[in-house]
Amino acid sequence: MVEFRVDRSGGLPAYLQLVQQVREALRLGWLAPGDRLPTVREVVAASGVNPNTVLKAYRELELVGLVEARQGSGTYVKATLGTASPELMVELRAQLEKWVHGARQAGLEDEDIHALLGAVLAGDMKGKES
Amino acid sequence: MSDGIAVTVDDLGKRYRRWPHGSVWALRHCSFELPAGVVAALVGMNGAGKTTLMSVVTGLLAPTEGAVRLGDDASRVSFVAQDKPLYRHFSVTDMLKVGASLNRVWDQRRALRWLERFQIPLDRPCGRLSGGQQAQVAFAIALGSCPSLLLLDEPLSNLDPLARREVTKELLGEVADTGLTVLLSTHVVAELGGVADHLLLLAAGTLLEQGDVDDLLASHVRYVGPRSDTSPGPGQILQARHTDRQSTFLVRLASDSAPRVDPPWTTQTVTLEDLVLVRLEMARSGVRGVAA
Amino acid sequence: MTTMTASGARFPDLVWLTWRQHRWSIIAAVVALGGYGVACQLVQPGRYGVSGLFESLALFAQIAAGLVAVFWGAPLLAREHEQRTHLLSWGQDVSPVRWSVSKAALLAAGAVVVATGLGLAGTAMLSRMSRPGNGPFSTWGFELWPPMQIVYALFGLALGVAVSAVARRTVPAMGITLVGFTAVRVFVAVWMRPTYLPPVRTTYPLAEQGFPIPPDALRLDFGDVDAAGRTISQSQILQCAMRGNHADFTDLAACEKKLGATQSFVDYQPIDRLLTFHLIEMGIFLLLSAGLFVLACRLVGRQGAL
Repeated sequence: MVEFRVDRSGGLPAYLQLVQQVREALRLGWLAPGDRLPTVREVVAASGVNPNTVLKAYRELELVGLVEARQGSGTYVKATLGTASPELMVELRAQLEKWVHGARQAGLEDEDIHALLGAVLAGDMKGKES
Repeated sequence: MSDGIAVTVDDLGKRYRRWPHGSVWALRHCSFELPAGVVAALVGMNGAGKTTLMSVVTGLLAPTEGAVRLGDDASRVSFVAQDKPLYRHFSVTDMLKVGASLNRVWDQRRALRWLERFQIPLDRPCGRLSGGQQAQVAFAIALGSCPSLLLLDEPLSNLDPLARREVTKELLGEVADTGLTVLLSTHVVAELGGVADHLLLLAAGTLLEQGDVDDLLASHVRYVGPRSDTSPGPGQILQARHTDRQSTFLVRLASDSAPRVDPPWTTQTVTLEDLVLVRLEMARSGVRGVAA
Repeated sequence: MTTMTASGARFPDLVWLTWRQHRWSIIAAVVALGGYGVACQLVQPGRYGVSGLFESLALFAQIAAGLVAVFWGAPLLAREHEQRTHLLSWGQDVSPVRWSVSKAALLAAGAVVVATGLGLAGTAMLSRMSRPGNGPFSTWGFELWPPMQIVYALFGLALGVAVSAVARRTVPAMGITLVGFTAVRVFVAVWMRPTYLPPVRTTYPLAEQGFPIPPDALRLDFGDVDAAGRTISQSQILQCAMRGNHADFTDLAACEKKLGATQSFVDYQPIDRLLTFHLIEMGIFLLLSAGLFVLACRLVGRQGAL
């Protein structure tokens, strides 16, 4: 079962933080289809999160088809986050490792790499939208 | 959690007469609605009118103008005042009996559960409890009266950090269990994330901002980029800051627009604290009319 | 999920609350009353004037209602405001007005019991003394009568509650109540009581010793009248006498003649008016009490009460 935590002073709305944490758990295999998510009451008791926030997060997850609410028994994981085939993942990772190596050779530090990656991702997002 | 409205506040105003200095409006033109089951934070600096607003909603204070309407399923209101007053010579058990005596509906087990959770000695006179323990007794009485709307004036102010966390958690548990609507006043915005889902921002007796916290955060964004006099993206500028090389714009987006900037500009999310501080600053410098 | 216990906010609940909050002042009053009753039994006619006990006890009875005003009435609302507990008590299902009325009514019932006991003990003591000047129309005799004691106590309580609704601080409320209560009681006793009904005037020959009035009557003014029936007051006669260098009785007699006095007079209220006077004074204090009590209720109910 996942344990949620909310960064109280963060800019990301609390319900999105919960959604992200579920997605992360799915991606990392901590949650698998058929698993039950904690009830709203359990999340409130464990993490001190507003029950409406938890409900909103679960509704969001339900809308994108990751979980389903079963009448009277709770919320269950329905799907997993199938990103790409394992072989493709291995290849992409190897490419990225090579790129990072190059970046370090060029004198970039971790922070520079993060900034660059963020800018590229943002630019890519713009390209898709327009 | 019902879809109803817990309380509707309509053009509320409260004027205090301060003889011989005429009168002052502690609250003016306040209108808002709280959906049932929300946890709303009433944020404002000291003297903004938070206590006045709560006292009027509670019914302890008659408004000078406007009206407060309680929803059909929110007819029971409890109020815990900022100083958490108790009868000093009464034991905790006697204080619970006061609560039971003054209310048509009383849940003794609920009140006792709260006291047990925080290990409050029942036989001790309230005057000999610590400030934090007194606050717990006040909360227990408020919950014992089975409110559908609970108003808490600076509920966490007397508590140590651990107790703040625990009280928050337990209160949210009560919300989850009973669908209770909570309105709590505070000036510590940093602790509200994940706790409050609704914001009422009050300054000098006027509501500056109100609404769902997530919606508010989603509709504000910060653009960061090279020095510029104009905003690089859509939205109404609430705050512009410049250094020699860099400019930062905090903007409010129209409901249907998304932040859209070209590189090298980047967007950053806005925290609740950022938003509150910017709005208070604007209010102080006299900018009032930000269209919602 | 939640269990609702039997409902509160009924009369017995408010009785409990009143008792729990005021038990020590109620117990103190009952103990004081018991002590008073015992002390009254100790006063023997023969020993009157030796110990001063009789005067002390009679005086205490006069101010007892003031103690109710100061210690029961004045703190009732003021202490709640002072300790901010009104924010707790008045935010529950029982409305502030019902809360205040119930508590005041219960304390009023207690005040009636205490005042009755005090009046009975005091009146009994007074009658044992059977001395001229302590009759039923004397200040002590009039005011110690149990129904009067009850009315004074009710007035004291109402005054204290009304003051405490305005003052909102305990000690100032007690002070204002004490001053106000004393002022009203003195004003009524000295200025109003003798004039509830026009006095009866009896005239008699000049220079006759003693006042020819019926026993137990309340003597008011006395002096002379001239042939036309106009009043010549004592002060006029004394003023005349002072102009001579030795103001003795011979001069007084000369002055009486000089001023044209033909007869002496004495004004009094006969004893058969006693009940009427009691009723009039009770009416005054009950009206005042009712007015103050309504005022206090309006102040509490106005909800500007924070």
